[in-house]
Amino acid sequence: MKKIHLDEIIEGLRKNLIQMATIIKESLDYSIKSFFEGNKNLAETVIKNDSIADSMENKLDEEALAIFALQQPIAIDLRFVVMVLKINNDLERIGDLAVNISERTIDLIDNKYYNYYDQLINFAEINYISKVCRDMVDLSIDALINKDVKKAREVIKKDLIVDSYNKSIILKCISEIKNNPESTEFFINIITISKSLERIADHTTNISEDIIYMVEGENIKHSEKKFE
Amino acid sequence: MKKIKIGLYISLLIVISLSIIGFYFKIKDEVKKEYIKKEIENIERELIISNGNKDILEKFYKITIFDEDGIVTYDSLNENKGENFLYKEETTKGFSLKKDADNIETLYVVKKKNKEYIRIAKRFEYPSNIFSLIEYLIFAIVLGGLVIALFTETTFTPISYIINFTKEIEKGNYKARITYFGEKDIEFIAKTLNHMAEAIDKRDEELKNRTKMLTEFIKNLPIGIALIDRHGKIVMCNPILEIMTNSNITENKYYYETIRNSKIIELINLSFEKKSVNLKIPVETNEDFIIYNFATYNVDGNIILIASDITEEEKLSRLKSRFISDVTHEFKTPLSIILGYTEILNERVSGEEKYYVNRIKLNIERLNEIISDLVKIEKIEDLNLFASKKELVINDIIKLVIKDLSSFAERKNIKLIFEEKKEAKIDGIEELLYYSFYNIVENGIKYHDKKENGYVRINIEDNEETLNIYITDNGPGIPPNERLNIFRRFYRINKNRTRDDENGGSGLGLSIVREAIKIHEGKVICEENKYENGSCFIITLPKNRR
Repeated sequence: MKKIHLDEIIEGLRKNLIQMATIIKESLDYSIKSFFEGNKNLAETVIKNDSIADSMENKLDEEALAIFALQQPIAIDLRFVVMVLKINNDLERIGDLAVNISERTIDLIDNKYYNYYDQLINFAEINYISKVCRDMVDLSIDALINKDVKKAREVIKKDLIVDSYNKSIILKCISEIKNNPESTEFFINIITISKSLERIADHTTNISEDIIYMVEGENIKHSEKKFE
Repeated sequence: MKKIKIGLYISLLIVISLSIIGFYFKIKDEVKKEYIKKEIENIERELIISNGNKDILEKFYKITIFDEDGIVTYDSLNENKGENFLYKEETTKGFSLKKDADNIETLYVVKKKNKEYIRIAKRFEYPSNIFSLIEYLIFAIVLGGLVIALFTETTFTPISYIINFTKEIEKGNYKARITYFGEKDIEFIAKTLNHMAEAIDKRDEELKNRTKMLTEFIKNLPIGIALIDRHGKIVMCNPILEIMTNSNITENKYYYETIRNSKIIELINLSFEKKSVNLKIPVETNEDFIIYNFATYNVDGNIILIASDITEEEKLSRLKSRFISDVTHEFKTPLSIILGYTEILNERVSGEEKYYVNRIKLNIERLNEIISDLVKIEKIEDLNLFASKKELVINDIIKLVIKDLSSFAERKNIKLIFEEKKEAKIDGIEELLYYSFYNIVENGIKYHDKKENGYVRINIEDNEETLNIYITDNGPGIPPNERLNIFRRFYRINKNRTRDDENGGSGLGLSIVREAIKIHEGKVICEENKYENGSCFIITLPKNRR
């Protein structure tokens, strides 16, 4: 058997993780784009491509476990492989949430709720929240690639903004529903999308925490330190 | 350098000091011998002067007198009685230098006079001027040291210049020159090195200019280019590619880190395994859409990625497709109307007119076939872009083909044989594979010329990496020089285009087959039937790795 250095195997794992992250980022981009443009084709593509992300997740899991079993990594390698397993999970969830958004979008298109779409002009928050979310995903992938703790901390800070936007969207939707009950379904869809985006932001925060743990070896989860 | 210098200095110093010290001891020995000789002469002279009178001698020396038998008769200190002196060193040799009872170095001289021996002992002391030699020694060594220092300095100064020069060159400063030459051989070396540096500098300048030109050239190319080494690091890329991939590409990073497009990453992944891959990626801009074609070439493990804007070509080809599909569609309706009326006409007329009508009918049918084949080609191009591959069982497709063609085969009295072994599976587009097999088998039946024992046989060979499908017949066969041509569009072996027999076809069948198999990344070739007259079509389909 050809002997392969552990570094090469770790690099291979890293490559697949980055590729997974790229795929997830694209599907999120497409789903947000499809929502704003009312593009059903694009939304369907996102749903169809989710199977690629799923198979990628399985592949990464298998690879990481194989490294545990066969190589017994230590120190930074060990932390890296553990991080891959965690980040992999988070990425897959982000992919699922992107699919969720696309499904809501298709629902909106099929039921011709896009008539209400004009009202969204008042909803600058949905625009902002999606923008911040995309930035967060971009930043966390950058942090992952460059092992950049600074960027990872930036992501964690942005999570607060997303939370506040989400709250204000929900409040606005509730008041809109009270005013015109016939558009309830549309606003519930909007709430779902906003919640999905908020969940995505949470997952990117998790990813960033894992990156900080991998680089610095310090666990900042559930502590006040994380907003520093 | 310093180490060598000091080492050389010390070793030279040691050699010189050692030789000087050796010389010193040699000289010291000689001086001592001379001195002893002189002392003995002195003593002898005094013996002659005193004429052997022991009283006079006793004033200066310690004396011992002994007879011929070696028995002491007189001793000034009354020592040494009872000792035989005849065999002592001084008696036999005439003198000796040894330590006496008080451990003081003493010179003994023995002289024979008449029948007795007189031994005179005198304290021996080195002359003081021998010890002053040590000062000379130190002086010599210091002098030698100075001379050596001068020598090493003159030898090593030019060498240190040369060393500094080589260090500069190593850093990449080809403008560096040696300014101090030294002498003789070293001067020659230094000057040669200077010439060498000049030549290198010139070449370097040329190289830099050329590299600059090349970089400028690549940066301003209208196509995107990137070079990726075998480890996956981007060696070089141009800004156009960054625009095309919509990502900031940094050189000296892994391609999957900087190219943020999963399709291109997948493409490069693939091209590490294969020779070259092609991919069309549509990019939507504000109003229009742009289609980029990303092609990768695997050159000895390194990947060259070339991206080009094929929007115009793609638009043209779409225009062409639309034109063809429009035209064929528009042709079809009037043609079927003509065909319908011709059939009615065919029933009504007789005699010579019937023959004419028949010919009209046959040609209309042929035209119809050409049009449906053209539609098929367009469809294949569409399928290439949009259809996705599924796992198919080849055996089922072949069985379907045989079922659909069995009545036609029966009419020509030809047996269709499928030698089925085990189930063969492959990822592919069912429609295209069905059409490919159908067309080849149909041709085999159509052009068959035997009235008896005719057959078309289908075998499947399931290899590890590929799936080979052999379709063999024992018909007229295809001449070797035509075996490549038959896959060309509208090519017919029999050039007589006005043939009106039932063998008439569009001439597009096999070219469609070739396209269809190409989409599956396989190939189709035509060979002769190994066992008898006839031809054998081999379709090779690679099994998908993933």
